[in-house]
Amino acid sequence: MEELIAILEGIRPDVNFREETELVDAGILDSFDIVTIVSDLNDHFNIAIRVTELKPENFNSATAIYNMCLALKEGK
Amino acid sequence: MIRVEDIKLIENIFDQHKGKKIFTNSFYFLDQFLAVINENRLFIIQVNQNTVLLELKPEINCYELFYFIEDLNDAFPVESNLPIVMEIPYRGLDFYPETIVDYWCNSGFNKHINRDLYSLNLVKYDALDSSVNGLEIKITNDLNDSKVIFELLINTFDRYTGDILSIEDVQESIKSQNVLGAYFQNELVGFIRFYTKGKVSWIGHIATSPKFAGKGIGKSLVSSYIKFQSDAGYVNFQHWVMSDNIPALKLYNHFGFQKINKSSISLIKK
Repeated sequence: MEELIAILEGIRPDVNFREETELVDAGILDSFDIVTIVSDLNDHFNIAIRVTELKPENFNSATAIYNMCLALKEGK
Repeated sequence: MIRVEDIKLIENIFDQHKGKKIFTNSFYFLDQFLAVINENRLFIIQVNQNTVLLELKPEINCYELFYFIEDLNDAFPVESNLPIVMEIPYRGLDFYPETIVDYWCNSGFNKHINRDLYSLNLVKYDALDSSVNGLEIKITNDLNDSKVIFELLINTFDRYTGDILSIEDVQESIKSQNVLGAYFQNELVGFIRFYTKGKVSWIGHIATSPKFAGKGIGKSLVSSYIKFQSDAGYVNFQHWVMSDNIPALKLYNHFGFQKINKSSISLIKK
């Protein structure tokens, strides 16, 4: 999780990823941010985020993003 | 160019490039893809290892291009009867996407507009002093003002990347009380249109009549906008600014807006 937080803070240092739980729903992250986040997550965690994963609920919090990455790593 | 009829085609694009280093500017969520597909506005072109999606934008009579480029040695000859525009997001000057910008310039596109995102967090609200003699700033309620606002919009903002609104959209904004007008002797001489996404208040458009340029109207509008939205409980303010718009940058700097880690460059082929 710390690795993920570091990646996210590198992309948007102005956002408190440790506490925010409505990153997309509250308009803090938008789909513009998602391009960079998806690219960095794919590279760093050696996963392939699919279009079916590109849902706001998967990016609403660091925990949600982490769980999505974990599931992909485990091949689910 | 083939029309995309099913999300499976998009899934196939993602699968095709799985595990490979690709350049992409595709920033739609799944529901956004589905909406465009359902409206029959999404098209695909594939050339060897590279894929392009074109979204038809009938309101501005052009295509918006989303790319998935795996092979930079394979130029992409996109042709169409309409202009094609693309936006490439990047996170600040250190990450300017030179490689992919060069790729598209070699494929017949030209650099268009560079924009940066500015943000303001108001820890506490202080009264802002930006009054101009004889100027009244108030929420625009008169639908007749939509014509003036629409004219200012189309004369101030870029047609392809400026989120130009139709006059009906302007009227909807007025009805939603999302427009502050600057009135000088009862004449509308400027406006600021704003909206909110969750906790964030955004400036959509701000413009001043050319004959009143340089008279502090922009400062008065931004001041009133921040006060209005602060009173409504908003503490985070964001908006996009063209990188070379020095007067705008000075204006927003006055209020403490700061550039954050988010920029974009648009390219166009006409």
